[in-house]
Amino acid sequence: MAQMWITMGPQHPMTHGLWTLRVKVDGETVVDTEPELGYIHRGVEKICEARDFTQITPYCDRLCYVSAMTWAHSYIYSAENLLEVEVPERAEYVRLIATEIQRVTSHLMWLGAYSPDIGNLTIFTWCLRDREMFIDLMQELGGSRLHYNFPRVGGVKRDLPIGFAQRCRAKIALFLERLKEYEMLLDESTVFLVRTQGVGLASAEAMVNAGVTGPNLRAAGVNYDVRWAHPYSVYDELDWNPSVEKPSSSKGADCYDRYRVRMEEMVHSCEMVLEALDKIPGGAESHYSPGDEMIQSKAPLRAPAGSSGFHHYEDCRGESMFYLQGGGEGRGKHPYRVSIRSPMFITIPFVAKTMIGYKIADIPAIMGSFDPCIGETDR
Amino acid sequence: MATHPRAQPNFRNLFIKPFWMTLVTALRTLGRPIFGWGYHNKSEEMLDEHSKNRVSGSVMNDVSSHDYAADREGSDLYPNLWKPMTLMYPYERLEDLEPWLFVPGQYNGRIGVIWETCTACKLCVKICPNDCLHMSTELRVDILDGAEGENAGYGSNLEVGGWAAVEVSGAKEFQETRNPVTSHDAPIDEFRFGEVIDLSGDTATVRWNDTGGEDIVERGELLKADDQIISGRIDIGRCMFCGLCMEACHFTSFFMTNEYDGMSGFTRQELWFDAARTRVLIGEHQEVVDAELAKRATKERVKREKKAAKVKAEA
Amino acid sequence: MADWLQLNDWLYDGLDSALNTALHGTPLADYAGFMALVLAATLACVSVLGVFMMGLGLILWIEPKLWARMMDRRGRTTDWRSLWVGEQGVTAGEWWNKVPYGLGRPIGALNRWLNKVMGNASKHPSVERVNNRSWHGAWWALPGFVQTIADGAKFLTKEHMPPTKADRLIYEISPFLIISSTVLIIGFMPFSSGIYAINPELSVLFALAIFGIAPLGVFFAGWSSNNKYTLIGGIRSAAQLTAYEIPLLITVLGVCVLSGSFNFIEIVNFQHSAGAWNFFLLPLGFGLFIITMIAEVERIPFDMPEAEAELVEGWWTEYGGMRWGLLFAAEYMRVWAACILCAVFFLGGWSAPFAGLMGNLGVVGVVWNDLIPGVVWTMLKSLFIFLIFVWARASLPRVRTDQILEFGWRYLLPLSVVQLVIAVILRLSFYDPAGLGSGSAWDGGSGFFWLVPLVVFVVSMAIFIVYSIDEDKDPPSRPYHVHTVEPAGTHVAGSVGGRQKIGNTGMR
Repeated sequence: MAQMWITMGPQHPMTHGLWTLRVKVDGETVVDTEPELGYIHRGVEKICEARDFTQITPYCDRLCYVSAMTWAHSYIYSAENLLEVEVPERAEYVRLIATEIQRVTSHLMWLGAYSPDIGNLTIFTWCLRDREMFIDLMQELGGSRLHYNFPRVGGVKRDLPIGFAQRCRAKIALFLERLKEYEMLLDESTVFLVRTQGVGLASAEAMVNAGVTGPNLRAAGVNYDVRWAHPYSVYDELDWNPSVEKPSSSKGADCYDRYRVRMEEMVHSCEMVLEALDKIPGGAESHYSPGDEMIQSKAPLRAPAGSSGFHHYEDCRGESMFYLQGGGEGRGKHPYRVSIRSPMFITIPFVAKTMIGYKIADIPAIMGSFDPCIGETDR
Repeated sequence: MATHPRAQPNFRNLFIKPFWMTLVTALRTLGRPIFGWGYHNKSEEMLDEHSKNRVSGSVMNDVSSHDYAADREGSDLYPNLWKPMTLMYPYERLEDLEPWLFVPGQYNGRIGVIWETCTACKLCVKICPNDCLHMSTELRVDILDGAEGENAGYGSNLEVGGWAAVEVSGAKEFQETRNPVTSHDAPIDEFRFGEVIDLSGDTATVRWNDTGGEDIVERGELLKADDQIISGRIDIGRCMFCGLCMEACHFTSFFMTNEYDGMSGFTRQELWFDAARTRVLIGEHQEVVDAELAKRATKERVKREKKAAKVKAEA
Repeated sequence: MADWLQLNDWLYDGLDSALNTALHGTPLADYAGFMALVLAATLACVSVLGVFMMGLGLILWIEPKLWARMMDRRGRTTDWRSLWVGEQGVTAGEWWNKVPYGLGRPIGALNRWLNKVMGNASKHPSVERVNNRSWHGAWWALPGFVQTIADGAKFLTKEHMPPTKADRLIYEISPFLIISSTVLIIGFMPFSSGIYAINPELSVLFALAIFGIAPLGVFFAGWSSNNKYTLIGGIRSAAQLTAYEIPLLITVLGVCVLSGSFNFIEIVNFQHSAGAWNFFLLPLGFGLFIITMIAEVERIPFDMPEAEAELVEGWWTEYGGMRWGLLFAAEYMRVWAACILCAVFFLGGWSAPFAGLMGNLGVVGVVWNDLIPGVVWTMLKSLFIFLIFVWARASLPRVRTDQILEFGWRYLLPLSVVQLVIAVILRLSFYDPAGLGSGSAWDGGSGFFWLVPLVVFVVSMAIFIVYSIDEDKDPPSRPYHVHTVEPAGTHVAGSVGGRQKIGNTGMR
């Protein structure tokens, strides 16, 4: 049969976002692919050139709406680098707690979207049910369910609410039990293993050459986690390990390895939160008012011309970077340039080529296992 | 290799654990009396003393019977059926079941502005990333002019060329019964405004704004209105509910209420919320307004007493 | 089995005598017998269709509820309150008042009573303003049941939009092929000894032959829609259904060999009078039948042809309105037919379980054996099989097409042949035809009349358990072979491999 191009997208249940994947198939085998991005380009970088440093934070929430905390924090660290601000330690702990809860939430959303791609719709409702618990926690912190506007230059918006620690511990304990149930339904299911093992092989060398980072890279055995290799915040004060999988074949990591990395990461993030609640200076039960020096330090409003701030950060999907250039007196409180490096923008074209040689039915399995988020891709 | 110890694609894993897991989940939904296991046996007393004190005594937040479990359970509609997670909105509302999520000031809901205490410093306008706030002046009755009771009489008087207002009957009652949380209609204007053409003794000639017609009205029924009252519009359609405006206001006039409901409309113009639709909870709003009113009345009273004393001293 | 509900006898004999007496002496008297025959046959068909559709309504209700419970949700709760039609309906309010001759008044009374019992009695004003369509009351109101009817009505209002370049003739014919072949099966399926439409001697052959027409219709539908997605779906479906027809037919052949007949009613009678259900004699066959039937009706885990994640709806994407509605109904009709077939072949059809034991229990035995009509037993057993179908759907992910095909050809086909050999051995060596009437045909020469089924079942269970306990210690080799143009995992991004030519980046 002749080879033909099929267009998957932009409206397609598989694509996890608004983009097009054009696939050339020979029967059921994928022979070539071509991704087309840019449907959600909103011009965030340009918008940020006309906003104050505090006003930019809500925009960064909306870069990857599934993991808003991590993107807002990623921006805030580079803004603090630009404005040369010291952050109080309690604020760093609160940020860590918020970020790790967000990481769990993001991975739950990933799993909830990935399983229906494989065909198991039961996990979808289970994951979103448990994600609700953590979204409630973040709602207490930030005020909304998905876009929190939580960090401020120099600290955080407000402190842990009263009773937060109790609720957090109860929810994490419950979640860790439920995670075992997910594993019963997925890891101990031959059909799931047959769909994900040996599928979507991506070697460590190819990924490093392409610039793929995050859980996708760690699935291939490369121990690179920005929190571990270049610790920021208080990650070096906690006792934790990054989740690295030895890849299943010499040719690289398959979908099952990437799935395992994220499951392990959820467990590790939960443990980090519990440890942070124990170690937070001032205690987890105390509550400081917004603006108190324990949770926010005074920050300058303007950055001199020619100055720059840079930070690389472990987002749920890889290494995200923000590069800010100060505006100086002429531009007032706005940055001159905000440049955003999105891990998914680098990964998606790489993944598109990984799919060659597999079947059409493997396309959602492979694509989903890399956890695409188009909001951050298109910015 | 895979770190899960039992992850092998063999015959046993074809259906044993997956089928078991779905069966258990389905059986758990039958409720606590039948199958004791489930998530809800593990509930803990989650509200600490401080939270309990804060939320006790309120109709919406009465949690004396709450037995917190980490996930959502049944409601007063179905106290025995403890599963599943879905909140049956609108029969159950989240603020009833989990009031700690809606601590006032911590939830970014609908914007509420107490315009009576606003000083028009415009910090909120400056901080808004999306340019959704517009300040303007409006023709209203100043709270001092419309006061009754102990604070009455400290307002200013009608003057020719100025504005006057008469109460619209039924508006106050409608305002009291209207639920701002769920109503989709704008409230009825409390006053009907007009320009004072002529004053003579007990009556005044007023040209109404809405009809253009002139009427002679008893002065006792008229209230002085002012068209320089601070007011504004908020475009809820553009608002992204980030909460920066609430943080910017130093005068505790700007809030984000706990309301997530009742903000819809069919046109974009309906999403421009004017002063009447940006009220905070009626009770709270009234408290703040009363406090402000008392403050201004006191100030005015003191001023008049000083003036009277000065006149007396000169006489 | 003494089944008092002999509907066919009542119809044929009753109408015959009724028409004969009614038309006696009139010019039509000679034709009374013929007319009675035609009328009775029609009514028999209608009754069979009615019983089947009742079952279909039942499973269309139960499936979302059970599926939702397994997913930890409540499932459909809209219910009788959908009687308020409201927005797009007949009137903007109480449509029952407009029904002529006052026929709608009972519905109005029902509506008022429902409101009183479980109405909008909530203290929140937001409840009053919402069109209350949900069940928040008693379980006995069958929550979610009316949703099916509402869905069907919705399909009737949607537009029929054939694609512009579709092969129009085939596009229109395909739904008819699929739906008519599905409905035709109902004609051959008996629900009890007294409820069936027709009973030819080789009814099993007829039914399964007709069951196998559907793959053709599916392929036509996928091809004629002028859509790459539906084409892929149609091809996958044709391959899958053909691949699973063969193990299915061999399994059924095994059952027929064991039971000694190709007739449904005789198979059930055999199971009753020989004293053991075929499930105990052919457990492997039962498992094979269920798996191949799940593949035949294209349910998860074998629903690649309509895999939502990739093909959105697969081969029926381009159909709208009632054509889609009927295709959807046809899928569930095939599911229900599969369940009934399974109950008839393996679970003894309309015979009561433990008939002999229950007969010794006095009143309970009388109710169990004599009062409960056979059709109720058929329904219950089919429903039980259906629960297994839903359970599989909730628990398992989708298997990939080439894996499905390999599974069918390499594993199920040999197993079905093995099962046929077992059936032949059982029938030839262990079957005692003399014991047919007294329920001891399977005693294998000993006095214990459950000996053979017990031994077979226990041995099968033992094999199953041994396989299940066995955990492989070595990492498994990939069980499925993949032949590709460029072997999977060898492509280096940016290079040109296989038969690709530079610059050939596709049609724009």
